Amino acid sequence: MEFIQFIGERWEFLWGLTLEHIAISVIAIVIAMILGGGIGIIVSEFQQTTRPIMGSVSFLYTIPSISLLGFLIPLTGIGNTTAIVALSIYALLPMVRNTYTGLTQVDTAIIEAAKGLGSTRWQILSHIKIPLALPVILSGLRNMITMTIALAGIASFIGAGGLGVAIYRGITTNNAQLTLVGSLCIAVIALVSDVLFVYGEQVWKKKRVACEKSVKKKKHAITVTAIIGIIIAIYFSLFNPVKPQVKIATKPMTEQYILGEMLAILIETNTDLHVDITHGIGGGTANIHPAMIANEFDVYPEYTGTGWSTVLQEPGIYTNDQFTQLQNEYSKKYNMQWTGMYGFENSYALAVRKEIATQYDLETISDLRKVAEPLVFGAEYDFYEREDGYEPLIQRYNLTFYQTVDLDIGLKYQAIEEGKIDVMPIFTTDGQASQADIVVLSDDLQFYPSYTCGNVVRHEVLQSHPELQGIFDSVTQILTNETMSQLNYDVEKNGIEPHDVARNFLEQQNLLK
Amino acid sequence: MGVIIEFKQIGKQYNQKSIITNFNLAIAQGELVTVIGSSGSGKTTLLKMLNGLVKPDHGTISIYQQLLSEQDIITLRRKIGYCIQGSVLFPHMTVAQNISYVLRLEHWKKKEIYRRIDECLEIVQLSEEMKQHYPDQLSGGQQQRVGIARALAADPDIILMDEPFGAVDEITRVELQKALKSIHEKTEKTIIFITHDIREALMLGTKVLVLDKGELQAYETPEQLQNNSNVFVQRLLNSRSD
Ligand SMILES: Nc1ncnc2c1ncn2[C@@H]1O[C@H](COP(=O)(O)OP(=O)(O)OP(=O)(O)O)[C@@H](O)[C@H]1O
Ligand SMILES: [Mg+2]
Repeated sequence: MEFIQFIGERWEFLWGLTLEHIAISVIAIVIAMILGGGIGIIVSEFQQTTRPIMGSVSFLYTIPSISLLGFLIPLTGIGNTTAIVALSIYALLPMVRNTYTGLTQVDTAIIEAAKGLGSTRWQILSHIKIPLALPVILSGLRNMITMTIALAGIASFIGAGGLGVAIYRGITTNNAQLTLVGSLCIAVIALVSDVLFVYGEQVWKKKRVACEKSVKKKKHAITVTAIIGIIIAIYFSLFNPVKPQVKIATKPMTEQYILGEMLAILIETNTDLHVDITHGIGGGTANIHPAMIANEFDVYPEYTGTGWSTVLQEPGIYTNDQFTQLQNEYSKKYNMQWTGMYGFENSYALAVRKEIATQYDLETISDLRKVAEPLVFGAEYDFYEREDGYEPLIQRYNLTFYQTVDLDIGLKYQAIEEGKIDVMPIFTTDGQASQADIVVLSDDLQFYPSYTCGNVVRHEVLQSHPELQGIFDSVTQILTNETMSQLNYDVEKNGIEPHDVARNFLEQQNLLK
Repeated sequence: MGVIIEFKQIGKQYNQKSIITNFNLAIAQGELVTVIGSSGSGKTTLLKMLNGLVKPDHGTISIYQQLLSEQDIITLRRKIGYCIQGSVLFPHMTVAQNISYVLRLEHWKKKEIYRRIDECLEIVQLSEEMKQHYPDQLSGGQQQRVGIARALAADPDIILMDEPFGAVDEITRVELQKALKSIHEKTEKTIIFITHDIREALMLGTKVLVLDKGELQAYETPEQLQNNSNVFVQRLLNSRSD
């Protein structure tokens, strides 16, 4: 019941994504159909091309989707185009293979009969081979359609639309219902299209038997043109809305969704600019930064430590006193700047249960040294493997714990509250950090880089829209770690939409008039 | 009557095995040549050489006094009716579409096509309801007759028929033989007709071509053939009474 209510509430959102999903899939399917069919014909007509072309097409098919998207981003950027290109590439193989199989399986005696009656090569292909290969080609097409619709779910990974957006947002904001609904909608589209396909095939077969007069053919042509027209119309209505003047990107993290929404609300209420947000770009900085360079995005929330090591590739650990250098490098190399520093920091930290902190009067990680011996340390499995994980940490601070425990990341907070563990690594803005009875110890030896959060903006955007500077000034220092983790908690555990959380917060801060 | 088809020193091998050796023959316009010979003797191979489906390794073929290799093969094929062995029909086309295949390639007018389809159906003794049937809805004999109709449709001057009556019943076969004979008499067409049946060969042909192991044994009128002393010919004639 709750589930149906949920769908009812998000109806508009889901419907939009569904249409977009269909549009992306259909465009990829049509491209693959024409291209794959064409290649299949070439491969079967010109034998010397068979091996090289079939080999390349099969090779493309084996590239994992995530890497293929990675290769394509520098070429076609972030968004629907890349998704369509990638989907078409995957859809190519079933199309080429079935066209090839279908065409080469045609009985040679039938081809010889056609030849003997004076058909040209092209006439044999169009009058004989293609119609006879059609059942095989269509079965390939049918598989390809289902596959493409399902695969289109990953499109949102690179900032494209479609139902993947719902799935991906569900995963990153801990909203299982959203993920489930997104997946279900994809399954429904795939099923419905399959049923329609089979139905269409039958109707077409019957029509062919009943009558082959050209009148019907013309009607066919009209229907096909109409369908293509509708698809193109959907495409343009979805993908070319009012040209946005500010394009915001966010990484797939709850707090980034909230920050992105905040910026959008502030810009749209306080200026005449139109905003477009692309939420949850997969790969985060690695994909957003190149897209910023390519002017596909104008602003995104970023963390100083990440900018320092991932973007600038500076060696060593970033500390806050290097901010000027960070700022200068960004300006010099990329024509971008950091602005609107929110005041919170999403860093690694160690947390202890409150009673322990009070008992031993703990404030910094160094304070742990004399008291660590009876304490149990708990962390997710990979923390013990990571380069900046457990071993380097205890060496740097010279700590010895009584015991270490492997935990599922989702159970950490529960374990510390139940006293199963006493110390654990956390992110300073973890939603649950705001609720748990814990004290966060400061990293006094600066083992971890500083990850203070701000906005990276292209210079050009600030120059052409100077009014934006006021917006960034207004968000400067408005969030602490505690507030940010509280807001994250509202999304992840209280199930409030990032947009609503952002708006409520801005209202509380009197930033909306 | 002038020579319309001429084989000169034709040789053909498949996988180093000689299928046709030093084959020479001139066929005059208006002949109805029946070709007879045991299975694998190279009858179909010779026939296919005439429409370029098989290329000879040696020798030359002329049609209308012009070398085959110097003619546009597509144009030539459309002027030569071809009834392929086993009457391979196009399974995705109706009887009407099969029959009118060449006519459509030649862009005949719709009306002409419909008229011609009906004429051809009548020649091969198929009823009009058959028109919208698909080949898999026909018996073997009916399929063969559609194959014949398809070869006759464009009213070609040369007609190649590879065992066209193999699968039809005895009564229909007699009717079809009569029809073919009357077409031939009325129109002066040159017809090459492969058969396994010596009686059919003698009854239909103005000339009988006897082939054995790719070599010409005889090319004579049925009457002359009766007196031929060739061993193979004698064996063939004697098999009649079986
Ligand atoms: N494409 C080919 N490749 C190899 N051998 C072939 C090919 N076509 C025909 N042959 C061989 O050539 C020989 C003559 O074949 P052909 O079809 O001309 O015989 P035919 O006299 O028509 O026999 P039938 O009465 O059985 O139809 C046979 O031995 C056959 O195996
Ligand atoms: Mg044969």
